[in-house]
Amino acid sequence: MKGGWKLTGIVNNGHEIVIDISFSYCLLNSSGANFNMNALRSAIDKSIVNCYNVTFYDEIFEPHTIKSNLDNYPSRTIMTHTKMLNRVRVTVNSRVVNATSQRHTNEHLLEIKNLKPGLYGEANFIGGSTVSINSAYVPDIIKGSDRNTIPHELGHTLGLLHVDENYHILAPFGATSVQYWTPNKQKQFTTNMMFSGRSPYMNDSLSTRINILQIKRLAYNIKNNKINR
Amino acid sequence: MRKSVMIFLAILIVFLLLQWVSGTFHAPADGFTEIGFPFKFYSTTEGKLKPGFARTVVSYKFLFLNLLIFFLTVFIAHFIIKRKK
Repeated sequence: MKGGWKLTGIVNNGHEIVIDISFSYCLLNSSGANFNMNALRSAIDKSIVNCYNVTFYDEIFEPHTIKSNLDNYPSRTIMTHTKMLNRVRVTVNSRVVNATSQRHTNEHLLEIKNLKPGLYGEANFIGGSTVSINSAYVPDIIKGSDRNTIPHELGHTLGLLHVDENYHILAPFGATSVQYWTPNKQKQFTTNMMFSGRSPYMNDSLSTRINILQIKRLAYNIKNNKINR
Repeated sequence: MRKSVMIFLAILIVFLLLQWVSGTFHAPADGFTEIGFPFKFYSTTEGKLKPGFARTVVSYKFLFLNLLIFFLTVFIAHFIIKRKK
């Protein structure tokens, strides 16, 4: 395993389900510019916790057996559904390094680089474990005015795609990819963090929310080793 | 005539495959998708860009150069095959 996402536990307490996720990364500055790396690390940790620590209600279906107290009449099992509170807790373990060789196997690499002018950041690929941040926009992350870029790129490393882009191979014929949101749905969740850069809803400080389907997808991806590559 | 068409189509298929193989498709992860062989003439990204920076860039200069190289390749291939006869 090459990356830092880990599902450490899913516990059903009876009144809530707690999903514990840990994320480990090392932070490297390859840009040549000087930054307060500890301040940056702290700002990044805060933005991750802000976006990924969420609670939501989900329906669960459970079997219940109804006993018959009459002779010769069998018990019946029926499915009942209840709304259960789900709580996602992300623990972040981070450190600053001076070279890529200092990266451990089970952690992501967040690297400050001199990317193409204008570009905020990128993941190496969907489900990968390396994120590059443009040095030109690091001050905004440290200040706290950009709370979207890092969680958004980490969302790609969790297997999440842009919600306003249709990646289905038959898209010209009306087919839609699983993670695509129709324009009406996009209007309902305008503060979601996974809008592409070309969406009018993408905003550095406001695009910080994640929704239930995305949480379920990333939990599935972590559990089934589809990420951390 | 038929042979000429076959040579043209064969080289066209090779060039199209080379466009695909040499391309980078990182736009979904906020990187750049770049296409063009031997010179990249098309570049686009889905990532966040500061205002004032072009999201999609098409270089007609490189597109023209690529087409020139393609037709030169077709011409040279024709010439070599004719000489072998």
